[in-house]
Amino acid sequence: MKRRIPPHWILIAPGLLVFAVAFLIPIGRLAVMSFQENLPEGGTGGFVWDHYVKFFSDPHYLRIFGRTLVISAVVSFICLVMGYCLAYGISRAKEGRKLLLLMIAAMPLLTSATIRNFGWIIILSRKGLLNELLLSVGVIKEPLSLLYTPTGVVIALVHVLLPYMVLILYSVLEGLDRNLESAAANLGASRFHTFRLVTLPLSMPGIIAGTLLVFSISLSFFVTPSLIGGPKVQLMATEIYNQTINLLNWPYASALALILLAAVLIVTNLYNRALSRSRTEANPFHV
Amino acid sequence: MFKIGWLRIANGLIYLYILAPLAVVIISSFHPGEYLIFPPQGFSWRWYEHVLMSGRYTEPFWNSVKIAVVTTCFSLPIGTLAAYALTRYDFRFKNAVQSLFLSPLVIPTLLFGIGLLIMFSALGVKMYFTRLVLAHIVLTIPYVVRTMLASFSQINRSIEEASVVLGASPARTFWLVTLPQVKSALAASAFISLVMSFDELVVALFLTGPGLNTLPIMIYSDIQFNLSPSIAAISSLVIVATLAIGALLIIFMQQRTRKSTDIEDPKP
Amino acid sequence: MIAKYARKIVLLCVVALLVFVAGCGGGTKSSGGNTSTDTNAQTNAGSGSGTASGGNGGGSSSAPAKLVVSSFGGAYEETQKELAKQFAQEYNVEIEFVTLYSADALAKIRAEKGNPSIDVVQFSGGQESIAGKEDLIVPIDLNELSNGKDLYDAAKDPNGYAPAYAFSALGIIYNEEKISTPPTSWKDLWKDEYKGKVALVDISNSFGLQFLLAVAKMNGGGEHDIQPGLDAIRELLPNAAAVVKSTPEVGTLFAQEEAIIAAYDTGYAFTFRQQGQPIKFVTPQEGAIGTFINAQVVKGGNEELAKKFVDFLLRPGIQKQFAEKNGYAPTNRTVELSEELQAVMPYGEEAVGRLIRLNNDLVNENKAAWTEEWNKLISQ
Repeated sequence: MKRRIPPHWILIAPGLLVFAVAFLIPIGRLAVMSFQENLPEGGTGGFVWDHYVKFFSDPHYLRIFGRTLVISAVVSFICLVMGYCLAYGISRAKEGRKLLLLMIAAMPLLTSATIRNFGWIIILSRKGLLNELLLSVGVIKEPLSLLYTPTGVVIALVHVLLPYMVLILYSVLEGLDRNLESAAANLGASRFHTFRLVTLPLSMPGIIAGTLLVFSISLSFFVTPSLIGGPKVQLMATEIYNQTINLLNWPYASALALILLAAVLIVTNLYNRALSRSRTEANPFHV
Repeated sequence: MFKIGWLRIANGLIYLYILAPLAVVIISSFHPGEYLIFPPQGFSWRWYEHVLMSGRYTEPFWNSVKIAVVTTCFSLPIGTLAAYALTRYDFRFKNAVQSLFLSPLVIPTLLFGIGLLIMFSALGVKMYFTRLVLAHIVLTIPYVVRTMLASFSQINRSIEEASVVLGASPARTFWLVTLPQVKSALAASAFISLVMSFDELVVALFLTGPGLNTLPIMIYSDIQFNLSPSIAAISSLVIVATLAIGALLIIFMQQRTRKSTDIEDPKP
Repeated sequence: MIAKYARKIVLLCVVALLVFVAGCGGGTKSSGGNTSTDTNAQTNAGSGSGTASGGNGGGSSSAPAKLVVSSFGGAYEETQKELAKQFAQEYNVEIEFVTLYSADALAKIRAEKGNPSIDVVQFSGGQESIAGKEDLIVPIDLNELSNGKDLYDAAKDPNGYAPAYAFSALGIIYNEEKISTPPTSWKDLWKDEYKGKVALVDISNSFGLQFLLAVAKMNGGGEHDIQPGLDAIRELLPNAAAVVKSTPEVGTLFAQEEAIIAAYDTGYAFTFRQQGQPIKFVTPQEGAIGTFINAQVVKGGNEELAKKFVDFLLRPGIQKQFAEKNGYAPTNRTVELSEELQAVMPYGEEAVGRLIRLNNDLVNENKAAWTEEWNKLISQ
């Protein structure tokens, strides 16, 4: 008669409780709102599809959506490459140095967003440090337009999201069984082969987690695109902000957020499947 | 050797990229004028004095620290347990649960904050500290879950199994065998959670109320008219403080490693 | 061990969940139809003002009455905090300030409709027109205010809400070290000599919106017809050093000397100058667009006390100090200012009368469409 409650539900119960109260309810409210009419006198009216129809039928919004996905994908990829180099380097560094290097890598997180972007504005603007450096070295003849362009947004976004990637990859590489690498090396594998056949597959959970984390955050990141991209680079997050604060069209803003969420869930699932299948190491655990 | 050499150079460049904008910020925090400009014209400690002596930032700073610490005290264990369940057990709705725990990452904090405010306001909840911490817990759990998922799914399970075979209870095994193997992921999660909560503005703006100011809100207040070097000074101080804590940690850890090298290295 | 607690934990979770879902089920339902939202709001407002009239407002505390005021942060808020001490003493109340820019403040009281945490909300971008229409703030009869009779006509709110307590105006600001002949017209911004030197503000910022309308009006359009404005802005884009979204960026552009001229606000010009920038303000011959900064009584808050605070902000003594410290022009015609101050702000019957008041109702109605047009234009 007495049925034991499965242990996994006990383990996730506290999280579920918190999320039920402080996430599902408010987001559920927004989800309901996204199907409601935005009344001119304020408040919301009856059920409509309008907001979703508006989004999918206006090329302006679809372009914003596409631009957002592309920028996020590019940011995730660059973060992965750079983050892997850093994390690999740190995990191979001397014990005493590791924490120091990690802290340097994590430093962008320690500065408030406005001020970090001020730094980027100084570096990226037409008369900025980067342009002056490149001009004086002679790499370019004309100053590059970086500020208020998608390129600038990518540069600044990678900067602030890199720490997440490094921290995740590092914690995976650090927990990795180093004996496997030595074994491979002892068996005559070259450094490159050891890396490709042992280290890389073993760090796959970190790669998946890191890229998905960075991808998700960059989709909804607001301050950096807003300051570095200016009004010219419109992304989903800036558009949601605009609809929420300036135009007070909360139903439409909610619809945009839910579309974003749905897109991420789809991308995450596909990505998970593709990568899990391609993993050489048989790991039954879905990451 | 060749490859490591290239890696060194690449990493050097990446560190340069990481540090460049921060260096700009730190350097310009010494500008004596009212505007944050670069390069600074002159050198002065004026803004550091302002930040440290005016008393304007003291209370908001401690509020932010308190919120960040309390948030992490909840989000770290909650997220870790959830991630453990998600890696070690197979059950129905597992994918749904995992997606749920990760979705706050994608919802813009502005909408999340407004949704929460609508809810709290309808319920008449005006405990500003509690409601803000609750929101921050939700915002930081995804980071913990993501980091811990990666770490749990990659550690060596045979040690856990051995421990269970030898008669340890699952809880004991988790505490004594599993957790030590993921300690760097735990540290990373805790760090991210602390920093996220400490630096979070938008949700705080909506959920705090009179009497509960946080440091990001003070910065928001300071930039109404101009970007003042005081904000650069605050950021520089935060960096220096964190480095100092890190340095203490390094010294502490080195002493510990010297004492007990074999316990520190749990490899089979 | 785990199993022993498990049942309790899960039971607890389920109960808590049910309570919350029940509590919020109501909320979700009430959002279903407009009418039920309103009843909900009214009940809440009723209970709110009930406590307020009972004595202290803001819930169960027995401390002296508390008034929560939103302000714009920085030096502006500091000055108001100083001035509010007098109010706190006179009425034996405690005043708390919360920092919120106008648009954020509107979003906050909108989300808190019926159960606000703010009693007095301040707006500078015409948000009172929306807040009024959405029933978030309370209309005020000027006869009830002791300073109501002394106000300029321009200060009065067309929809019967609280009047403006300060004016500022959108005109041209320029770096006087770099520009020797002062500009006289909006048209000067299009001049070739300022190529790449004009700071433009995005439409999402109220100064950007005001400028777009000023340009539209100059070219025969206005609130009814924005197209002439958009066309002219397209011509202006090559002159722009940058199109920025947030106000502090304008200050930085001038401080870095990347921009030397812009359509901007008197109050900011005053602050920039006080902070040592060589910035001057001129009113263009087409007329300056007025900004009517006001403090509104939030519905369902401590309304009585809030009204007294609004009245307090209209006092000549308070307005004079505010003008001297922060550079915002008084709306009370009995305030006397020094010649020096008069020159840098819209002061006196004539100057105040010339301020152009945008039709905020029309502006808000069309803002979404204009924003879309503007964004398409800017991103080209």
